[in-house]
Amino acid sequence: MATADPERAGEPEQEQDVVKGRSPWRLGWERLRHDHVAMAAAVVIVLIGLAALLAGVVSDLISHPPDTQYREIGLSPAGVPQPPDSTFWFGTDGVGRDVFVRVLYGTRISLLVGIASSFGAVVLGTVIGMLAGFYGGAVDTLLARALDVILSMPFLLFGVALAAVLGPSLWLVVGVIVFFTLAAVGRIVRGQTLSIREREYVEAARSLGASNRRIMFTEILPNVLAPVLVYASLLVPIAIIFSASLSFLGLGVPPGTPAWGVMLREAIDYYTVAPWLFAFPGGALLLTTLAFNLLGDGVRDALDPKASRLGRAG
Amino acid sequence: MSLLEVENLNVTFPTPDGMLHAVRDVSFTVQSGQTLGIVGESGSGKSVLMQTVMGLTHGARITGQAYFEGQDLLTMTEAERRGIRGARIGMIFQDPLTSLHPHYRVGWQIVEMIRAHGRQTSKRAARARAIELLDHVGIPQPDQRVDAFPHELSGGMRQRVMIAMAMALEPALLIADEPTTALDVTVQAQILELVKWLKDEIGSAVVMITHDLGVVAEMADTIMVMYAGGPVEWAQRRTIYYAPHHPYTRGLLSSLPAGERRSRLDSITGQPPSLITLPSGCPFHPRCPFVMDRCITERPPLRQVAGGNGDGSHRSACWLPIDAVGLGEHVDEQRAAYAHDARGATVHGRFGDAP
Amino acid sequence: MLRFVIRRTLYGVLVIWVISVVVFVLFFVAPRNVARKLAGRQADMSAVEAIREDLGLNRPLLEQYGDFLWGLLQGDLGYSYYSDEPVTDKILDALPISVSLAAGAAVIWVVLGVSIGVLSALRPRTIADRAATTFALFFYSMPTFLLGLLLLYFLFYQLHLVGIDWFPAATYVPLTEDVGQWARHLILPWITLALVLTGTYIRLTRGSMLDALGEDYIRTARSKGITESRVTVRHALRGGITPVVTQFGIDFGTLVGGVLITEQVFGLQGLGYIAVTSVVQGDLPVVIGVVMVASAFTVVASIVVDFSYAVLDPRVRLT
Ligand SMILES: Nc1ncnc2c1ncn2[C@@H]1O[C@H](COP(=O)(O)OP(=O)(O)OP(=O)(O)O)[C@@H](O)[C@H]1O
Ligand code: SF4
Ligand SMILES: [Mg+2]
Repeated sequence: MATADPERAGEPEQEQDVVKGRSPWRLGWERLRHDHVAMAAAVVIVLIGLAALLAGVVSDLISHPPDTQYREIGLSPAGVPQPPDSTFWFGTDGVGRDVFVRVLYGTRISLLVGIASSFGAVVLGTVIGMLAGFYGGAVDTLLARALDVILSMPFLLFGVALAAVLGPSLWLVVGVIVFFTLAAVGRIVRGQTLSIREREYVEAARSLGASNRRIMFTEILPNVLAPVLVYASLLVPIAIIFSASLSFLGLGVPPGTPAWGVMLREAIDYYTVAPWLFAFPGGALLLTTLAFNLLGDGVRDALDPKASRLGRAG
Repeated sequence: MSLLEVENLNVTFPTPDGMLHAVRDVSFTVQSGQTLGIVGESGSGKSVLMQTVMGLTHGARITGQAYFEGQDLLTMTEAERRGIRGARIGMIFQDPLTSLHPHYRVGWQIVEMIRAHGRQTSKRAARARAIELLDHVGIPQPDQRVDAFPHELSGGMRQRVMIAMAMALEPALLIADEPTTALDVTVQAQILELVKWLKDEIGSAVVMITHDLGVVAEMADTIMVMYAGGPVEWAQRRTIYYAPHHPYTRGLLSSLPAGERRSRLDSITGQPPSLITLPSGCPFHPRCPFVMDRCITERPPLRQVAGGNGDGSHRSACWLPIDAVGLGEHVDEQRAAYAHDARGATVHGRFGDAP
Repeated sequence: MLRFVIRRTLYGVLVIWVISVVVFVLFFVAPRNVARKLAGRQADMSAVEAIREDLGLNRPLLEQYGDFLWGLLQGDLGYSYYSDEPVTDKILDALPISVSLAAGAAVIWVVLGVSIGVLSALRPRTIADRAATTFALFFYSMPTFLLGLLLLYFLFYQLHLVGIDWFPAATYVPLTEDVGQWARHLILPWITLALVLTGTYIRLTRGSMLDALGEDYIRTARSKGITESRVTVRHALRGGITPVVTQFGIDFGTLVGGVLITEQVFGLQGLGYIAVTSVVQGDLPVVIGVVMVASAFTVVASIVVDFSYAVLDPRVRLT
């Protein structure tokens, strides 16, 4: 940490540890670093990321491709899936595929959907919210009303309907999630922008002749970033659950894809005879959403300690 | 027996950055019917001190005693303390808007106070009493205002409501925590007048917390000046105003607008210290114009100094000679000269030039 | 007041109209040939044409939309492509199931969520609080269908294996028929739905209780010498309940319009269930009907929420 900040490099160590003078981001990071739960969650997320990256390698290593149906060794003579053993660590599914390999591949889809859609929602929501809050007037009315309409739509139902009409696909799922979550981001950012716009330094920048775009990027954006970042980290698990739910209803990613939601849907038919079919993908799904939520909470507490601290006297 | 007797009170809050020592080694007494002014900058621990006495600080480590009418408030059961709060000790706060519950009518809030300590009082009687109280504190049309919500009243009116509520049960002690800070200047004097008048009428003692020596100028009998959680000077009102000893008190006085007291001294510069890592020695030394070597290493105890009625009632926590009391340039020059001798360096003796 | 109701209702109607346009465009313009599907694989072109004719799909789009809107205004949502039943009837049949499910679950999650949230806010950072927040986070992270499957497996199937049939799995018994059976058949779905939402309510209640407990008026209340339980309930909870009520209004409004996943897992034929089925079948009138009804519920819920602000907070003026 002594040389992390070039401007301060060379100063004695103590000087940098004074509580005052640290930027809010740095302070947030310090707090996050000392939050053991959040750090553990981050480690789990990194491991999940590794699983996603290495899914192919692992599947090659044990030479079980995700889509191969081992009807001979993977199903009992009566055609029932096999429980976990030394060949199939997580057992096999209804058509004799290796559940372990498929769960590994499932991390790819979940992470992709989760991260891509929260990123998309945050970018679009921030742009819309900033435009609405900054320009006010008709622009604001129109955008705010549009956000209202989106928030009034029963979104899982719409997601289902959209997926049915346009056919199942991964990017459609991402699109649907972005569409329905950007409204919430937009509202937050709009509110923040409205209050920041009135502050003195923005007035000052304006009177110095700064252009609107400049004010938006240099004065407003940095100030809305913290709440947006918190929201983004909490959006990832929401997106993951949402996409798994769509898949579970048979309307998310195409059937047969090794995605956790799809696997869980397929598990329903066997839930009495082959509980491992929902235990493993279900466990992986829960672990992922838990890890992201724990990290998200940590980020929120670190950036906005008020939210988690008690009131004070005085 | 004193009405309130606080001894060696210490309050620390555990915070993520370390232990925050909000109140340190505070002892004082309040006699029945008397007024004590507690004065200090923002963050000097005034509110925490009195709220601890009331049993209102949560999550803090507390040591010491606080005897009220002979009983230790800090060791009694919560139920016993509850019987005293409101009934024997009333409290009003800085911001009447946030201190009243926004969702309840003011009458309801007063009635709640009355009935909390006398369940036999009927609702109707309590309401009649609430209207009477509102009238008493000078609220026009009290029978209508009793049904108003706090946001429907002006700041001054709200503070009158708070006072009516705190005085409803004629407490022996009223704690007023900066009751005028959030109000318009014109209203401030009226509110202070009201407090003084009610106090005399009921005969209660008052602890008036403020960061402005002007506020207690007319009503305090005794004044305690606090700095960084601890008392730095304690004296009769007149002594504080005319013969202060501690440079901090000296600085506070020079920030008063009253023309006669204005001197060459500027008001205190710099920030109050962090209560987590207090400066060594005298906690005021980084801002003190008279700082000496000793101040940096040794913490001055609260000791008797000259002035006052010579009865030992004037105490100050400062290493300057005990007779270095008073206002005016020549006293400051004496202080500076002494400090100069003590540390062998040039001392400007002006707050604006504090090292 | 009256102005508020009128203005808000008009706005609600506008929102529903916008949604109707979106829905219509989505389903009628989208490249999906329902007639083809209805006619079956082997059907020849003329059969497909006949069906299109029959359903009125070969008319100009605006005309179709006009009809659709006209019907909507009269409360007529058309007929199912599949069963020829009036969509309104289908919806009216399904509605009690969704309402039963949502209402029963709501009781559980509100009671659990608010009480745990309050208790946990009263003792922040104690073991009890940590247990509560962990519980909340766990169920908050839990996908509904996964919880449903788990409950089915343990509380239905495993108990069933050892001869205990406390929690029957499927089917719905109308409330008017037998209250006991109605509740018994809904217990598992209720628990599923309630637990998943309880997490949100614990977190929300805890957060806003902590905020309220830090307010100056709580200090005033304590300085009055009233009991701590009165401070908690009459002062802090009263001051902090607004966000919880808001969230409840929105959640309940959404759920009444169809609890898609829980209904699917437990085979309850509520609005959500028929929506999913009709989506899969391409039964457009039913899909549109359910979507419109569900949107109407959310819009009404948001009006009620706005209204409740004014009831809960005297500082809010309705204009
Ligand atoms: N609950 C708490 N937890 C941690 N620190 C606290 C708490 N309550 C107060 N403090 C800290 O204690 C110190 C003293 O606060 P206090 O409110 O008593 O000051 P004050 O003299 O009343 O100032 P003001 O004029 O601003 O009211 C402050 O630094 C404050 O941040
Ligand atoms: S002279 Fe020394 S002891 Fe006195 S206030 Fe100044 S620094 Fe403190
Ligand atoms: Mg204070």
